[in-house]
Amino acid sequence: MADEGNGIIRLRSSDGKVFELTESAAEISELLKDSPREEDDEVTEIDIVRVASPCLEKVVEFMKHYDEEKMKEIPTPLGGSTFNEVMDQPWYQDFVSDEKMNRDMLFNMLSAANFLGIKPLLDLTCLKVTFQITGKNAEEIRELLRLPELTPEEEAKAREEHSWIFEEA
Amino acid sequence: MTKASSALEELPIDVQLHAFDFLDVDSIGQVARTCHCLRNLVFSNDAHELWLNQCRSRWGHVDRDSYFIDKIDVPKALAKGEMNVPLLLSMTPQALPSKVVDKDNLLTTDKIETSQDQESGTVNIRYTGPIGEDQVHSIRSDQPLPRPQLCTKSPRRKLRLPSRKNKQNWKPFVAPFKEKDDSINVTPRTVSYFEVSIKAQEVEEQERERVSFQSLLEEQESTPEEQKDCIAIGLAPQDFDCNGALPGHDFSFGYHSDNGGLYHNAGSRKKHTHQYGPGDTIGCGVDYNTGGIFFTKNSKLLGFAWKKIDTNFLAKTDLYPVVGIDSEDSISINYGHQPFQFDLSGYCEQYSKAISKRYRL
Repeated sequence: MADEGNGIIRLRSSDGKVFELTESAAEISELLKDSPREEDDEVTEIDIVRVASPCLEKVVEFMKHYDEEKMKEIPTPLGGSTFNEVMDQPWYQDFVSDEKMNRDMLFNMLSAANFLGIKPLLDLTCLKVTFQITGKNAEEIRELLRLPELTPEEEAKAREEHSWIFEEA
Repeated sequence: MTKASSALEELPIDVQLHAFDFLDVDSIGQVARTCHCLRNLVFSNDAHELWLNQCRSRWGHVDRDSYFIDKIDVPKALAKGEMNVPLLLSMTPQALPSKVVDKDNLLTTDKIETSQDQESGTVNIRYTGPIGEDQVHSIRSDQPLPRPQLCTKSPRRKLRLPSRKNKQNWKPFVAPFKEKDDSINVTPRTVSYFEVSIKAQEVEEQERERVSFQSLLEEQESTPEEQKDCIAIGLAPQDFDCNGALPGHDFSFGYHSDNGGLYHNAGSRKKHTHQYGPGDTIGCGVDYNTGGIFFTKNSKLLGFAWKKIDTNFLAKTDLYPVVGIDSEDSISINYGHQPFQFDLSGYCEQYSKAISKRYRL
């Protein structure tokens, strides 16, 4: 408590890699903020067994940057029709758009953001998912999200209950 | 991470739903088509907040205390005891008329003056150019009135009654309008409607009524003045030239205040009905069931001005609320953000049976 924001937190991923960040950067995470600190010790180690290193690395990168430049809140309804129109901060645009950020990474990130309780990261990844889904038809979304196909019975039931979702625009 | 299953499905329910927070109704519909789990999820009670946000963004003018009514009560599939918000939202057009546009630059040439009433939020519009001259002006709304779609297919469940063949089959739309009790009516309908109020001059409205009954002299005095001015209320297709015509000219429909004339197509006058002027509220609607355009005056239905308009025309043409102003009186247009004077809900009731039949499970 005495050294609020000055301590160091070490996060250990599920595959054993360690990432370091300041206590002040970790504040954005509900989970880290509330986790117990080692007494009389400037360094606290926390195991994040649910998150693997490639993802944790990105998450830590996000937290460090957020500590320097806060992400603006995303307005609803969205203030634009493309991802970059809605999210106008270049660093955050790039963060979810670089080559490392493939489909799996995006959903792992979503999961990690939820687990660690990082609301801005959750919003950012959701926004990215939104623009991946918007304008796609059911087939394409199924492919994107790797969902199982509907059985004919399920499809018939769905058509009966929610006929509007099957109407073509 | 190397598993073939969807990463999304492994997330907790609230996170999955959060991922859809920013989607629009149509995309949620597509998501619901993909698989059983996601469909159940987006139509479950857990998705309440998701749909509430959708109501806010598509139905607009919604605040925390708003409550919606659907008089037809379209059936619910999953959420019990509540109205079928997803279905109703899917029937709502992307854009509804909400204001007049600056078509032909009338607003920037200072000929049209607008002012907003702080209390009600009503926008008053006043024409400040020369009156009674050859050049006349009209103002058009930003979006057309919502319209139902003509279905070529017969409804899912065929009518058992021996009905006329080729009976028109209009797929209703939802366009929210405020009721007098402040609830917001989102009942599917096949009748579009808007109202125009002409602000009473100087004297208070209540007083004006009394004066007009009591004093014949004043009535006579005001008549010649009304004949000089003209306000024309009606509907026009998108390409209507607002700068130089009142509704009724070209291929538009208009009801003129000065002589109560109903005009359509190149101004050929069809017939007369009541004159109107300051203090009056005139409503104009399209009843797609009869293919007719009707007018109302101070909450009373005046009747159909045109009937049996060509179905193909109605099915394909966006009709914009248009008001021609050749008068100093200020007007305001109500698209349903304020309660209508006319009982639109009561008028639509005659079609509710046919509409609810479409949605019977």
